[in-house]
Amino acid sequence: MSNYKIHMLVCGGTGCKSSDSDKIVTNLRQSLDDCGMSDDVLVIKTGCFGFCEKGPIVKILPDNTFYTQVKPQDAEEIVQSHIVLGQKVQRLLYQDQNTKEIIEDSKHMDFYKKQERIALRNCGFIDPNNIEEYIARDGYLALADCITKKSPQDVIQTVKDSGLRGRGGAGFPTGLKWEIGSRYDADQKYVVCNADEGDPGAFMDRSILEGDPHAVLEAMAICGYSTNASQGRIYIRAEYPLAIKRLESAISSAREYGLLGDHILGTDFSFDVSLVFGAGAFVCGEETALLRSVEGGRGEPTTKPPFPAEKGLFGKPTTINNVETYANIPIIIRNGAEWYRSKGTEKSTGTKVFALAGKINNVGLIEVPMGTTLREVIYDIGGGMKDGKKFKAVQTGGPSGGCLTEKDLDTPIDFDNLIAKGSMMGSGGMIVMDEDSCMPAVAKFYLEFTQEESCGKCTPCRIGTTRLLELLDQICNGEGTMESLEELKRLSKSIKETALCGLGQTAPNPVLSTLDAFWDEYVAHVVDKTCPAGVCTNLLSYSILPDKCIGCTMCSRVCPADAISGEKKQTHVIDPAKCIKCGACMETCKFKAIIKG
Amino acid sequence: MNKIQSIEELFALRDKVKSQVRIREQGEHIEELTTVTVYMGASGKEAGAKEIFNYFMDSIAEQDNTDIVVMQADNTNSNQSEPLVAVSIPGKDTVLFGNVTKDKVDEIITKYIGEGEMIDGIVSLTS
Repeated sequence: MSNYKIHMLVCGGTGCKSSDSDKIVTNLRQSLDDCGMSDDVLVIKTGCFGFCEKGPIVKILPDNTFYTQVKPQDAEEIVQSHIVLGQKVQRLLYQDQNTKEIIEDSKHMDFYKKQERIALRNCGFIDPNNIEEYIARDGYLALADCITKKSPQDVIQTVKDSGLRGRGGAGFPTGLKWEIGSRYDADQKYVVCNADEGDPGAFMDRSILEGDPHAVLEAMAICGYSTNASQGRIYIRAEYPLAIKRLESAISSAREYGLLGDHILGTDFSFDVSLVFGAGAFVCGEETALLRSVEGGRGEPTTKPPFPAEKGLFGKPTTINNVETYANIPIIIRNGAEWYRSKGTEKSTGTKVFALAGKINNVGLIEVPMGTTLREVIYDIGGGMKDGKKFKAVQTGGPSGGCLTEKDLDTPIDFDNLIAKGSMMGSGGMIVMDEDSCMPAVAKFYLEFTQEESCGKCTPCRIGTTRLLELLDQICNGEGTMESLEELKRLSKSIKETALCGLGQTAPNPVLSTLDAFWDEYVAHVVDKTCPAGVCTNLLSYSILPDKCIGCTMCSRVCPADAISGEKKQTHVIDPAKCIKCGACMETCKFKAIIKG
Repeated sequence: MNKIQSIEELFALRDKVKSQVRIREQGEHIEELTTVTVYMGASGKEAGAKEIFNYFMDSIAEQDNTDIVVMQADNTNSNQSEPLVAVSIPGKDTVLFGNVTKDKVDEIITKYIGEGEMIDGIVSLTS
């Protein structure tokens, strides 16, 4: 029987950890000790709460008090005031950006109101290093139920009926994948978890592994049972050290408790999992490249068919799913396919985790039912645009996706709607851009990434992305023509049709979708030689308004290129030949006398 | 830890460790639960509010009652009739009990919360 009267949860995700949340835990425990309350209050380090914008987070239960941006030195005040006196520490409570209202508990915060946490249900709730907390949340009961009471076909049918689709990008029906995987016989079969999360700005898989590693292990074992595989591999990038540590600890306690290994729960079913570290190549998120990398070869994709279900790891039948997909499995088995189907939309059931980033007030990790609109995500949960700027576009699906604009804000988010709009779900990255973003430059940013990450095996991707990048470079430098735009379109289409794997086939998406939605902005770059958003430096010029300049000399002092001249109390002048367009003068001028255009 | 040998053993372990996360699970759906708030400002503590708080917690734990959640709050405006306890049952007005003793705690749990009966000791109704 636990006698703790109050629980204090401290975020131990990578983001909050880098802001010293470990020290917060130590200090809280110390302060509780000092006032003799350590038997009354339990301090736990959990996984990510999702509200990274305001981290580190300390949440107090049962009253759901939500302290934001806590520093190690705040620990004593929290204990003295909240725990000893029962007075909440007002200055650490969350203040709504728009209404300026102080909100004491997470239940009433807009950021959490529209969320529904299924894959993240244990993240920011349990101690990921303690298997008993996972079991207390009905953990491993789904696996136990499957291996003692259900046939593999029954399990597969439940997953099929749930409508769950792969959360890694393409949205292939998970149950169907398992069914195909179960059809092939071999002396050894494998289950693989794709934890090679590579989209810039995406961290949902990392957060699940850091916050609830047992859910993934349990789901892999269930998949192993369904497909008659006894070996599991998690392919995780070495640059996720905390997730690796928590997984290693989870695997070793699951073995100790007899929930992984030989004869699980005294049955004939045996299943074990080991980790394989990736070096961080984007292409290794593509399943065939991933499998080659696990085998010890170069991380290069191979042609399909044969599909991994038939000939995967070491030529053996392999079922491969993404982290978030697995995280949904145990609760689907426990609560049933109907329960899961009741959430989301008809063709995209359940919820989806998104990593919300960019020019938005509430950056963080969210989980919403499929069918939630972009407007709800950006304005209600995300708290709207930062600094009152105007919304311009949102990139979904990372470098493989596309951008959606104002007219798409009320589109319900699901797999098919996003594809119909020229973007894709991808793994769930969502980067919000405001009026200061230049769309050709955004497309260039993504192409720089995919071109760099192209493995080089097939020509369309290796040469094609390089040529695309050159064209975008020309456009952003003011050297493009209308022909460049036509060439961009033509080349993009042929790369899409001819590249070997998903990386190349989707690499032109950011180009095509920005061309489609922001054609005028491209035209401005190539015809008028201007950058409407004021980003492309070659197309910019800075000048000083004589009627506003009072000759304070501030700008000439901060100019790193000595491009500004003028006597004291006289109007200053910028020499365009020397100007490197860094914008330092504009930032420093107190009189708004410097303009760019 | 010995290996878990059967589904029954796993269920038994789950039941044993369930209470570790109970307070957190209560927080997740607190609006559906009866909340008991013990006022623990300086004067409340002097009057024994801390003991009452602990007694509430222990009684509820003993009865394995997951529908009641006990919280603490700081001073009330009045320091009359302490220890003061506010009880809020979903769908009903919050009721404030004064001069609460351990016997009164038992009565609150079984009669007022358990059976919905009005009992003595109410000092005011708040909304």
